[in-house]
Amino acid sequence: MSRALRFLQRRLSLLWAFVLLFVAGSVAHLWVNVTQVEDALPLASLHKERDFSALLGDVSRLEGDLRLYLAAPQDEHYERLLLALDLAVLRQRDNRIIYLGTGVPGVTEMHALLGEALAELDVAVADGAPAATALHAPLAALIAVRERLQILNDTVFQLSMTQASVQRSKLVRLRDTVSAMIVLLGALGVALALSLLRQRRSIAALQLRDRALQAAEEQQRELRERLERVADNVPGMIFQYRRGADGHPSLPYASHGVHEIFGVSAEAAAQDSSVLLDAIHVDDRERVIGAFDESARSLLPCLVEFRVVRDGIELWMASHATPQRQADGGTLWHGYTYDVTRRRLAEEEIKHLAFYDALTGLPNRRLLIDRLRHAMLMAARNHQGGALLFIDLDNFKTLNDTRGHACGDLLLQQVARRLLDAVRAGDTVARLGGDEFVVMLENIGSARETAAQHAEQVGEKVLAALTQPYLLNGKDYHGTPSIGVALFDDCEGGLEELLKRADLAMYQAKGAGRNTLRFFDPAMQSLLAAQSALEAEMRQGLRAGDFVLHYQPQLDNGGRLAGVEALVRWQHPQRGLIAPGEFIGLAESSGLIQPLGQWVLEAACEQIARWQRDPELRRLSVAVNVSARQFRHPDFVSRVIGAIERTAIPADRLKLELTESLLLDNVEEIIARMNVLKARGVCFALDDFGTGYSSLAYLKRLPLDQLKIDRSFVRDVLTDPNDAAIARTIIALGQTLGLHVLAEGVETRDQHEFLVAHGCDAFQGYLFGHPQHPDVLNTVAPAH
Amino acid sequence: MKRVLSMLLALAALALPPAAAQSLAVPQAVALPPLAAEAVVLTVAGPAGERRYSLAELEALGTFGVHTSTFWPVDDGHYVGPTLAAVLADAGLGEAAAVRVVAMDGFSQILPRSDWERWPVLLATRRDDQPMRRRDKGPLRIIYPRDMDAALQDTRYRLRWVWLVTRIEAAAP
Repeated sequence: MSRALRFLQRRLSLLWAFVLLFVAGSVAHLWVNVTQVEDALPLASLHKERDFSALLGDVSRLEGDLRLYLAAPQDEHYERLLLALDLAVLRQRDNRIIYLGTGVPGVTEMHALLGEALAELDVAVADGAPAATALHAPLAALIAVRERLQILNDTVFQLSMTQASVQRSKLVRLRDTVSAMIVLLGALGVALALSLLRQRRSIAALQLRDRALQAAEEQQRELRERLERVADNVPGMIFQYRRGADGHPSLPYASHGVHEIFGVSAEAAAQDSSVLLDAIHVDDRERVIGAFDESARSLLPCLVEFRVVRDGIELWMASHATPQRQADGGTLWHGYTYDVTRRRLAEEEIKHLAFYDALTGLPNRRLLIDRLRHAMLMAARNHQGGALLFIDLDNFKTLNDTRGHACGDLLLQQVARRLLDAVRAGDTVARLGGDEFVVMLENIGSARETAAQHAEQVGEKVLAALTQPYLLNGKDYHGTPSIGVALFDDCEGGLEELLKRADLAMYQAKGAGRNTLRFFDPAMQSLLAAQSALEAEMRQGLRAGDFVLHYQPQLDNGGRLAGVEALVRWQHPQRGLIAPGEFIGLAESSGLIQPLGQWVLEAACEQIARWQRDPELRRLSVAVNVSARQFRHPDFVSRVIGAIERTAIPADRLKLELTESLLLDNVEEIIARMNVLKARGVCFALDDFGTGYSSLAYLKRLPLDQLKIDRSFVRDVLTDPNDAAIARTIIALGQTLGLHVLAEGVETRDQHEFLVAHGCDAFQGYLFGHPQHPDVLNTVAPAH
Repeated sequence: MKRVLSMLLALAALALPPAAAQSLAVPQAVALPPLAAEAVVLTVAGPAGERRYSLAELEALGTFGVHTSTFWPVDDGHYVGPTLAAVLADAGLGEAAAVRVVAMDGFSQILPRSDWERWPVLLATRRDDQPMRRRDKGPLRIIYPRDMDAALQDTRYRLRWVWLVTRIEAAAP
C-alpha cells in the first residue's frame, strides 16, 4: 500500500518537474520573441507615424511654394514660402533628433543634404524678397533632396513593410505559440488535475478499502478469538458431534472443556471419539447412544443426562445438542455438555425432603402412599398378597411430657432403626408422623391365610423388637407398641381405605390393652359404620331434646343424702335409654361434647332451681362432670356463671367434677379459671382420683373441695391390700389437705364399713341407689 | 525598452530634488511684462462665432509658468502661457465636450474636456520668457504639466502636445 503510494508520489514529482521545465522553456521562448518584436517596432512606428512622408510633404510644399514664388514673385507667395521654410526647418530639426539611431542607411546624409539645401534657401531669402535667379540653385538642391527623400522614403517604407511583415509573422508565431502554450498548459493542467483527482480518489479508495479490510480482518480476528475464548471458558464443553451416513461417529470440534468433563484431551477426543463413550458410566452408555439415535431420526434436539466416573466420583453431566442433516446423509450436532451434578444432588435432596421424614430418614406418608399404590397394583396383577402394619407407640405422649421432646425424638429414631432391622430389605418402613409408623409388606404369598400368617410373624417380630428396653440419654425406657394389621385383599376401597383399616385395627389393639397386635376384621368395620350413624343421631337427639339427666345419690358419713351426681342418659327414640359409656367417647371425638356438656350444665342448674322450692332437697349439691375439652373452652367460665345467674341458684349447690387428665398441661390457666369460679362459690371435685397422673404439688394449689376415689380401688378394697392401701392413702391425703373424700362404686356394706372406718366422708354407689330420674329421687327416703 | 529606460532615468533625475520638483512640476501663476504684439495668432471658433487673439490678449487671461520635461530630447524648459481652460472659457467653449486644436501645417488633435479640467493644461506663449518663433514650435504650443502626474507620461498624450497652434474649434470627443 505505502509502496504504491510512494511510487505514485515519485511519479508525480517527476511530472511536476517536466511541467516546470516546459513552462520555463516557454517563457524563455516568449521572452525572445517579445524582444524581437520590440526591436522591430521603431521603424514600423516611424513609418506609421508618417514622419518620413511628413518631412517629404514639407520639402515638397517648400519646393512647391518656391516654384510658385519663382513663377509669380508676390508678397503673399513669399509669406507662404517663409512658412514652408520654417516648417521644413522645424521638421528637419525634429527629424534629425528622431531619426538618429534608427539604423536606416542614408538618413544622416539626407539630413546633411537637407540642411545644406535649407541653409542655402535661408541665405537666399534672408534679406527680404530675393531675385528669382538667386533661388534657382536652392530649388535644384531641394529637388535633389526631395528625390533623395523620396528614395529614402521608399526604402524606409519597404524596410518597415518587411519589418512589419516579419513582425506580423513573429506576432502570429508568438500568438500561436502562446495559444498553443495556453491550450497545452490548459490541457496539461486539466489532465494533471484530472489525474491528480483520480489518483487522489483512487488513493482514498485504496486507503478506504485497506482500512475496511484491516477493520474487517481485525473484527474477524476479534470475533474468532472471542468465540474461542467463549467456547473454552464457558463452564462445560462445546462440541460438534457427527455421525456419517454409515454411522461412523466423529468429533469435528470440542472445546477445552472436554478435558474437564471427560478427562480426555481435546486432541485425543478429535482422533477417536469413542474415548468419550468409554468415559461415560457403563449403565448410561446405551441411553446416551439411544438419545442420539432418536435425535438423528427425528432431527429434534437431543437432551440427555448421564454419569461420568472420574477419580471414583460419579458426576452428572447433561448434553444438549441440535442436529442437522447433512448433504451426504450424515448428521451433525452442535451442542454443549455441562456439569449438572450439583443440580442432581439438589434434586435428590429435594426429593428426599419431599418424600422422607427428616427425623428418622424413613419414607414419609407421601412416599408411603406412592409405594402403596404401586404395591397394590403389583399385588393385584401378580396375585400376590401384601399387608400393612400400623404401629403406634403406647404412652408416647407421656414420655414426651415427662422427659421432653428430645427424648421422644431419640425414641422415634431408635424405633425406626429397629423396624428396619425387623423387616426384609424390600419392605417399606414409613413414619406417618408423631409416633405412628407403618410397615408395608409385599409378596407375602398368594393365599389369604399365608399372607396373614406372614404378616403376623412380622408383626410379632416388630412387637418383640420394640418392647426391648431403650436407652434414652443414659436412662432406660420401656415402651410398647400397638399394632394394627390390614391385608391388601381385605379391601376393595383403595389405599386410603386400607390405611384407615390398619389404623382401626391398631385402635382395636390399643383397646385390647396395648402392647399387642390386632388384625382388622369386618366386625370392626361395622362398628365404625354404627358409630357414624350414632353421631348423626346424637346431633339429632341434641336438637330434639332426647337427652335426660339422671341423678345418683351421694350420702355423707351420717347416711344422709348430701348430694347427687348428674349423669347424662340418651333417650333414643328407637333404642331406648343409652348409657353414656356408649356415646361419650364418640361425643368427645366428634366435638359434640361441647353442646352436650353445655346442655348438661344448664339442665343441672335448672334442676337445682326446681329443688330450691323443696325444703328437703334444696340443700343438695349437684355434681356435674366436665370433660377436659369442655373446661378448656374459652367461654366455659362465662357459660357456667351465665347458667347460675339465669337460674338464680346458690352457686355452692353446683359441684364441677374434673378429671386428672385436665391437669396434664397448662395447669396455671386451669387453676386461674377454677379460682374465678371458686370465688363465685362453685365447688370442685377431682374425679377418678388415683388412676391417672397427678402431681401432688398441683393438688395442693387447686381450689378443690372433694376427692373422689375411683371405683376400681373401691371394688377390690377388701381383697387387694394394694387397693386398700391406696384408698386409705387417698382418705388420709384428703384429710391432710382439708378436702372431703368421696368413694365411688360402693356396692357392699363391707366396703362401706371399711371406708367409714378409715374416715371417708361420703359415698356413692349402687348400695345407695342407682342413677335415677329426678322425679323418682323426690320420693326416695334416706336408706338408713 | 531603451525609451522606457530613458524615461525612467529622466523621471529619477527629476525626482532628485523632490521639493523643487513638486513646486515646479505644477504650473504657478507668473506676472510678465506685456508683449507689444498686436498680430492675431489664434482663432477660436466658439458658439458665438470666431474669436481672434493676439499674444498679448492671451497673456491677459492670466499666465502660468511650469518647468517641464517633454517627449522630445531638447524641448525641456520653462513654458509660460494662459491655461487652455481659461482661453476656452473666454471663447465660450468652457462647456465643450472636446476641442480640436489645429496647427499651421494642418496637423490637428482632439482634446477631451476632461484633459483641461483634470490638469492645468497650458497654451504656452513663451519659452524661457521669450516668445516662440515658428521654427521653435511657436508662437503657441499646448503644454501638458507632464511631471505633475505619472498618467501624463503615457505616449498616448504625446500627439496632443500640438505646436504651431493657430486655431481651436469645438469637436466631438
